[in-house]
Amino acid sequence: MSNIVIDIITQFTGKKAFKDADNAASKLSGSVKKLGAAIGVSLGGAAILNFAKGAAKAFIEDEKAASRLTQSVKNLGLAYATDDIKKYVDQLTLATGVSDSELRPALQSLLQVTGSVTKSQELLSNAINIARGSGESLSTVANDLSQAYVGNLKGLRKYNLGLTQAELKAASFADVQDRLNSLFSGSSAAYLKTYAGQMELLSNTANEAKEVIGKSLVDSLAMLSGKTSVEDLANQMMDLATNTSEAITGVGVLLDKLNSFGGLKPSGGGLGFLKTLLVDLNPAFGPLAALYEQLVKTGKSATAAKNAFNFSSGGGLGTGSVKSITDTQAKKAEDAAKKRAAELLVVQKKQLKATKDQTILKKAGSIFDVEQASTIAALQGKISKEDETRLRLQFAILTGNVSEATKLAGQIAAAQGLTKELVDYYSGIPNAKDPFTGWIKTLLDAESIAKRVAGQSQMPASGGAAAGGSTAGTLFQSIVDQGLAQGQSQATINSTLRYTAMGQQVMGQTPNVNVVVTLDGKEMTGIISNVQTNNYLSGKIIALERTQGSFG
Amino acid sequence: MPTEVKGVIELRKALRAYAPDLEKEMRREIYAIIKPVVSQAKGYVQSEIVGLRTGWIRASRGTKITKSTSAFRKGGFPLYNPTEVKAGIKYSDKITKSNRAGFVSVFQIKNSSRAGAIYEIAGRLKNGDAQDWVGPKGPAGHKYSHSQNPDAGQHFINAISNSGKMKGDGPRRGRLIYRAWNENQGRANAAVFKAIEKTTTRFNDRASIVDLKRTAA
Repeated sequence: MSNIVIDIITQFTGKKAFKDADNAASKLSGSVKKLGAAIGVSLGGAAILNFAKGAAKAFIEDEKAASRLTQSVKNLGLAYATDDIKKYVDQLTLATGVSDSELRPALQSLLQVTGSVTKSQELLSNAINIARGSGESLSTVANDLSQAYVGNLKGLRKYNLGLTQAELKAASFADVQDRLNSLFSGSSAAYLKTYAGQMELLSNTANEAKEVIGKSLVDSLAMLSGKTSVEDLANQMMDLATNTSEAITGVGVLLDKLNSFGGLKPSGGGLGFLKTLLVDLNPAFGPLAALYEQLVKTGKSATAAKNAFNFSSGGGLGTGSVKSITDTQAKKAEDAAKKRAAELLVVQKKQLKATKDQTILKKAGSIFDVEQASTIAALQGKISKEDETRLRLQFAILTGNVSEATKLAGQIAAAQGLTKELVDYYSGIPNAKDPFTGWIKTLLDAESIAKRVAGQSQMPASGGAAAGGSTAGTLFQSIVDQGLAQGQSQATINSTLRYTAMGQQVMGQTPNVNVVVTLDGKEMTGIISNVQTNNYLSGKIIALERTQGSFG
Repeated sequence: MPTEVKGVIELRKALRAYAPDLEKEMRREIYAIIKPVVSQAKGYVQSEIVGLRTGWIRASRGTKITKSTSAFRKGGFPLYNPTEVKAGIKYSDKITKSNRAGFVSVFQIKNSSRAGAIYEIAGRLKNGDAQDWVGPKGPAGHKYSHSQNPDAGQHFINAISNSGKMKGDGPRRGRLIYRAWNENQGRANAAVFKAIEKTTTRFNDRASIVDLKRTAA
């Protein structure tokens, strides 16, 4: 059949698939409405539909995470513990308020490192406490712990363990674990006592319930569609989107009713609700009690059969055989994990030793340090005591010898104190740049003394004898007294008296002596410069300058 | 591109239910608009295709070319019959089934004969070139020429192309109805649209009058 046409006027009426889906949905909607009418409930609204969708989604996500963990556990050779791990996670999430979607990856990372279920569970409990105490996420803490387990302790710095970097490096994992426990133990319990903690616990529990309901929803939908796998169901859901949503609505209504009858506390979960609905509330349905009992029985036996089946070791072996196999496998796995832990400890010790050796070698290698070598060479040469002390101090600093450095620094400080006194002393001497200034001053002083002595000796001869004679007499008397006081011999005293008299005579005859000194500036500068250079090279002037420069 | 008129189906249903005269009038009016185009398309059907050395054309006299004597004897390849092709070109105002895109056609021109369809678009896919030749023993499939003559396909397309010019754009390019529609330059389309609009207005007016009468009553 050819399809050569020109469409002059068309109209969009919607795709065939839409129509089919719509029709199917309408049919299903009709069926569900009938069901609703039969049990006397009205069909729910958007809230129920959203809840049902959310529950299904939560279950699917949860199942994905669980599947990842299960596969990982199997790959680690711990398949025997799959059920135990599942139960452990379920219990832990209810006890701690941490969602299983967080617990599973954390446990997985720990299992992958330790290879031991027991150790991983212990570390996970620690991790929860640490996470609650430190404010870090559980996945971060679990990752840090798993890294620490294999000797990489860098990640633990953020927990402020109160250990120095060197201590942290030198610490074993057991030490670190003890430290972490001492710091964060009980944090989770304390957190759960708070309002926020309780809210989180409630929220988490609600989410868990949602996942459980979601599982039932998916199972129910699979049953409704007559498909055996979720993939088939998903394909059908794609075709019949509206159909599915209506179906979820129908199931949601049932769940909603279940919640609304919560106050009646019916036994047997959802079936209990059925009992309440069909038997207790509607006596007319009395004969359905038997059917209800049968349903409960069937459900229990199915659940028991499922729980008894151990997929890892074969369900047909019976409980006793399964237990013995599981125990053997568990022992084997734990032994392997312990062996691995011991190996890790040996490796860590080796690493620590290598680090220490490296430090020692570094210290020894410092002998070849150029700076230190020059210091040692300088010490071996001819140097002053003070410079020797300085060099020793420098050497002590370079080698990191704190006590020696402190001691030598004290000595140098003391020596500098002495040098200062010397400077004070030298500052009293004439200016080194123009020493002749001092000479002139000395000569002028001598002149004034001579004049005074001459004046005293001339007094008797020039009419002022009483005063002059008295002055000269006093002078000579004082010389005698001083000589006797000092225990000088008479000859010495006489000699002194003689020279004093001679001096006074000379001074009296030579009234004024004028000395004129002419200095060549350039020549003097050269002399001074030479003197300074010599002093500098001999080390004397250094101390003087340093003293003046530093402390003067 | 075909013109989409929202509500045209509902209009036709309403007309059929409440104003059959208007519906009839509209159909007649649209047919009058489309008829020249259909006639023009029929005019492009050649009674003879010059240069076609194969036995595609049913002989008017002499040896009758049958499925067994035709060079196109393999499979169900149709023989070219100008009368049949012309008869296949027609106008339809039946509402079709929805296509894959979800559109239904309300008014259309068809080239419904198989030979007419071949004449309409032969060589369009490869812009005048024939299909790849693989011979009688080559891989199966409609994309290949299995003729014993490697140039048969090209000869066929050349002969048809010489007898009729292809006009139009993309999937609306051909030698018969597409050519006629293309040469009409959309005048017919506009006229049909106007006719629908006019009928809608008339129908609404009539409905308003009925309402007024009811109100008055």
